Amino acid sequence: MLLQKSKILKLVEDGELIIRPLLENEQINETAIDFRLGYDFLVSVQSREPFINASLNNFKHKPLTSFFQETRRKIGDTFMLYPNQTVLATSLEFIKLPNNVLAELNMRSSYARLGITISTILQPGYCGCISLELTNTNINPINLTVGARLFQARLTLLDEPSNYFENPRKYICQVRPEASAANFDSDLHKLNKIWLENNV
Amino acid sequence: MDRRILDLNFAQLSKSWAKSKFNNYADQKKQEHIKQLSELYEKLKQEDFSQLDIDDITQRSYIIDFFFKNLEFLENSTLNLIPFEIVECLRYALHDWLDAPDSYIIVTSLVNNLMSYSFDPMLAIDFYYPIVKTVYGLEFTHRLIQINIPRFLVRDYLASVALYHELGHFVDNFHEITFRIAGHMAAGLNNQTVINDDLADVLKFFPFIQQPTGSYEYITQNNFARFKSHIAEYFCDIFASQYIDNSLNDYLLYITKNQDKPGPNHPATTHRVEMSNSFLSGNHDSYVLKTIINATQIITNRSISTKYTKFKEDDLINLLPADISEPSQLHYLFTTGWKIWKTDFPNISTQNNIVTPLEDEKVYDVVNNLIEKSIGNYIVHTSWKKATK
Repeated sequence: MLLQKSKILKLVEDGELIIRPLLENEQINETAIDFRLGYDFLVSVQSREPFINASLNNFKHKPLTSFFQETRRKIGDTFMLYPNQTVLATSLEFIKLPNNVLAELNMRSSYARLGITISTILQPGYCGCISLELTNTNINPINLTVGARLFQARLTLLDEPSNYFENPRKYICQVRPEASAANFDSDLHKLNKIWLENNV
Repeated sequence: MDRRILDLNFAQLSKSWAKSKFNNYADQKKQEHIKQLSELYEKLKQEDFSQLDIDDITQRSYIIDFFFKNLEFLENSTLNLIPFEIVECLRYALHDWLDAPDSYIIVTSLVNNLMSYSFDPMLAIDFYYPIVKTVYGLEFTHRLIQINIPRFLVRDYLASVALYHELGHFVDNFHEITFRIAGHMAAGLNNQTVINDDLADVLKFFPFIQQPTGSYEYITQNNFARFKSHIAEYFCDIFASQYIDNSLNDYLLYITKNQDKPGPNHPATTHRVEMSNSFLSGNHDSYVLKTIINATQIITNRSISTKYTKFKEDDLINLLPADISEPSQLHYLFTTGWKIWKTDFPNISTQNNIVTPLEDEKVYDVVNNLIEKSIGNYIVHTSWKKATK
């Protein structure tokens, strides 16, 4: 069931849904919550490595973090998003979801029309700033304001609660964008073993 | 001094300045400082060094030293490098101790030594500025409080408690607190008005002071500098304790390997810890402690006393940034962080139903992240409120 304004407000009031900072109550609208662009960014840069290796096969490459450069802004500053550049950012808000609520994220229409896309979900019980993988599909750079309401989350109430921490989590309470930890997926080790058996 | 070396020094400066002058700072005070440095650079550039005599060359050399010192710290104080959140907490602490805190900018230099938290007074005091004014008639609006931070720990909000101690050195320099205390105590010792228990207390905390024999005195020209710098360390520990309670003590004992012997510049760590614990416990029987507290009040017209206030600590354990409502609560974040790291960390897993308890590395990340976000949220809230007025 999609949660509407009154239900969302009730969750916030009861301390079951935490949003810090919630600068304006108007961020909670009829069917979604607007979130703001945070002040930390990881910007993709060209590296001496020939490619990003998201595999463990022939794993001699530098960590994925070496393909990104950290940069910070203050609220009210701007950040230039270049066409086709991958930028990792976060929401200004730190959130904690109830363990029976799922969040689906989309750009606010005003920004989607500029050609910026995101599409991701947050699992029930998620806590941390929301990680954003921003891509500008426009042919022009777009200058964004840190702190602007950029994207929104629609909340869905699930039939049963789940424990976010049932399994070990790679990202807990992140407040700055973090580069992909794809290489830490446990199944990659099994796949690498298979590859080694077949090829070495 | 060789004029060609001055030429070389200026060429080195020009090369560095060509890059640094384009640095952007999200801070008007720093931008203004850069603009004034730019004016100074033009004055240097316009001058014909070949016409200078030896004294003039020395002065120009000092001015170039001053310029480089500025670059060293400003270069490391862009928003991408400066630990903005902790500096903001220090800025609030500075407001407690200065009538015109806005005349100062806290800047940081990142150094490679892991233990190298330190305060460099050169751009805060009247050393270079009068030379610049005399030679070129330029006055800088702001002075810099330079704090060195280990590069590897720039985002470590636990070890960062040492920065409160370093800020104490600036406040001490500014008000000349320990210089005056040292003079006062030395006079009391030498004219034997400090006696009995008070004398025993001094000899305990400054064990390098020898019982005088013959015409010798307790404090002489030979040991005054050491005496003064040890008082300064005690002062800065007490200064830091006002804000971060006893958070610094265990870290201090660890990094000095429980040092129980006094060094040339620092007292034995065990004595430093004992002093700040006495201060925090309210047991002010020690003559040295009492003198530091009373003298600070008289010299600065401000009391040295607990300046942090508590907040709802459960938030951090429940994996939430703390809801900070006033600056004095910001300082308490560090104490809370240490408390979690030392004792409360298992509660993070139990209270949040984390099935596989978090490894230390994750606890470290969680504590640092939550402290950083708690400070960041307070800054954002404050800016938002200001803009909404």
